[in-house]
Amino acid sequence: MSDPTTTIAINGLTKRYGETAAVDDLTIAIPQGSIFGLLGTNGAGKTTTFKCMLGLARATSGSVAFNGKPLAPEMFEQMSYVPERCALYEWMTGAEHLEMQRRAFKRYDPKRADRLVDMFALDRKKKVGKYSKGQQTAMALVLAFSTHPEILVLDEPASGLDPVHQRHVLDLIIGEAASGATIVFSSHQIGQVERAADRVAILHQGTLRLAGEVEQLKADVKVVEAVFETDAPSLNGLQNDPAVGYVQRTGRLLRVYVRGRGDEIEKAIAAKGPRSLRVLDQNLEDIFLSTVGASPSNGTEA
Amino acid sequence: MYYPQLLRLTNGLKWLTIVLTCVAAFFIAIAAANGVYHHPAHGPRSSDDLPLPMFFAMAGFIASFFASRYARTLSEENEGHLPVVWTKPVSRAEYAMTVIAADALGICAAFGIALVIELAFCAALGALPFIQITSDAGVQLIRFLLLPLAYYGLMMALTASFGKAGRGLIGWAWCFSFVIMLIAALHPPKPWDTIATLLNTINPLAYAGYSHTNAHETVNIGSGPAPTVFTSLALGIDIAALLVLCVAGMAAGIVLWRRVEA
Repeated sequence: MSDPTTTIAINGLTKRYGETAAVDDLTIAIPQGSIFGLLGTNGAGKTTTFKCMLGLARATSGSVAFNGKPLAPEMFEQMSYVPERCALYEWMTGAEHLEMQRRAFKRYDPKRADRLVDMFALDRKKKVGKYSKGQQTAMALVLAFSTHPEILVLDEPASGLDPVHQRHVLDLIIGEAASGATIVFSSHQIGQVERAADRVAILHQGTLRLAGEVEQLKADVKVVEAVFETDAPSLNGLQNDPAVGYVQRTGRLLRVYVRGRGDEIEKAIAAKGPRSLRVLDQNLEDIFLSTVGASPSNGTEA
Repeated sequence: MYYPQLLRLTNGLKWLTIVLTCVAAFFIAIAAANGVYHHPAHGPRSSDDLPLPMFFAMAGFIASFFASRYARTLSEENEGHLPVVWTKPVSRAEYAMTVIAADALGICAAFGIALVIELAFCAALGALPFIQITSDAGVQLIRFLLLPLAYYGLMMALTASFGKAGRGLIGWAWCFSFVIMLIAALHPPKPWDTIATLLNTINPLAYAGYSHTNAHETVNIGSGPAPTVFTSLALGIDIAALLVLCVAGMAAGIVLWRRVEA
């Protein structure tokens, strides 16, 4: 039975293209009113996840439920989607796109649309094909927010926007969530995600590597950094501890990325007699990089 | 729901009107320069000079070219617009049917515009009194109105699964349509004759030849009676065949388009 506070429930979602799994057994529950950031490197499966959620791609297996129900066309009255690539009609003007939205959605709010068009300084009479990439993204955002959606799925919503308009987008996202909307968005600009999102999931090569509340993740994930007199010693199997994300050695420097149980790992490393030892807090970017960036060739060990 | 399609259609009808008017004006100017404009009647002519279905046939062919442009409606959405179209609060089938209904009205409007400009052209040349409303005019009107709709359905079925590739398919479909008509008309040895005849069963052009003979001349529109494959069949069969191509093509187009997901 689904949790009544869960607006979007993704269960075991898998999407394969031939032998390649673009998304592999993804399970996420997104609570109502939350801002959920989906992070991942290029090709991690973020866009495929969005497409499968919205029925734009057929999932190989698994399911997606919105408020406990499978996706149905009428649900789009309460949902908006901004794709990564511009899907608007290049030959239509901004005003014609607004008219298209007005005719398609009962919840369309012309006053809000006008305010947003002014905020992004868009020319209504200009054809969308003549807009810059950032303006096309802005127009897609105007259309998405003009219907007061209860669920917003935004794939790289700040792509191509200048810093001022990026800030506007973040403010819009935060404001919409404050009104009760559930927002799922992806971005390569992790600072923006950290500022707006209350929960994140990190995808890597199609699989979910980490998920949770941003503050909790930041509290859980630490780096134990030790400097030794000589080359960093062997960890004697400590790297196999489930709490250890990955280990980085650079000569006398040893960094151990830890999820939870930081104190225990700190004590274990302290027992090896380092010259100095400290525990560092992590920002979301550090957490992301430590989650997807482990590579033995870079002097790291899993 | 179908606002972009309404814009496409109104734009297309506007340009069709402009182009046909210019073509008609060009020929009226030539006629006037040669004195035909002021002397429309070259001696006594019989009253059945210009059968009305001939105008239907011409309008039908013009509307068929117009229809082939709009047969790519669903295919055009596949060119990156599905995230817009498929996230509207309406089912895909309903969206497609609404768009098809709008296109069908547009095609009928194109037929009407072409017919009006043809008749205006005749009126400008003073030939209007020579137009004869033949006894089969009503049935022929239905047949030639169905011709562009049959092309629309057929080409929609061909292109609905494709994106930009659909553009090329439309062009090839027209070439194919003319070529198999030509092959059938030449009566090549078997099995080519049989193959061409079979292929012509799904060729709208095979059901749309028109010929009329009066005291002075024979008027042929499209293939004329000789190359038409199914000359022995009644007009009713032509209409039924065009109707089947139209409805089956549209239905196939919708089914294929609904399953375009990545």
